[in-house]
Amino acid sequence: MDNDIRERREAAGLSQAALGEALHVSRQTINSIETGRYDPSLPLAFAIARHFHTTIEEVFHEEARHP
Amino acid sequence: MKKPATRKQQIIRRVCWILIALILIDLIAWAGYASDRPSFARGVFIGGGVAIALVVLALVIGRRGPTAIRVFSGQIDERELAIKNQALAHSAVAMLLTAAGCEVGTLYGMPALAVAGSVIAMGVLVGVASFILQTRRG
Repeated sequence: MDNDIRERREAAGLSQAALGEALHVSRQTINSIETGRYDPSLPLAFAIARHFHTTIEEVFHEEARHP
Repeated sequence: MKKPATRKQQIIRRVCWILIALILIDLIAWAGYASDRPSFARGVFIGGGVAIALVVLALVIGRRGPTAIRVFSGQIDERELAIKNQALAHSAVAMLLTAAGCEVGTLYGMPALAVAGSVIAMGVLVGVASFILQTRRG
């Protein structure tokens, strides 16, 4: 899934490690989520949205389906 | 959703697992001594002791360490848990295939110890390789 976590994180002045620490996940997991290589679980997705004071739909976007 | 364990519960759990590992090492070593193989028993004590020492070290380093240390100490997040489970599944398949191959080997005189060693070695190799590849690919 596409997401704008990197932009939100950078706007908040956080490093990947700092965001990982806040969400109780590793820096590598944050990197994988930001680059779209890993889709977080529902609880983690909610935690990410809550951290940025927004909703899941605002953070995560379904990729456009190709016919 | 399951409630996360408290710090005290985590410590108790880890101490219990270490005690279980120590008991298992003793049992296997005892089997070696009982079957008149003292060098085997000494190897179990040394290898098992090193393995437990590494686990304790990993627990001390904890979340601050790299992925492998965190997996070793059981302090992993959801992504790393998924990677670990996938690696274990690959390891199990490799061990199954190796065992099947070794069955054929026994027809040509392959000793039992070589069969056991091959199955374990292949499981460890494939498990580690799978873990590393998955971690690098994200």
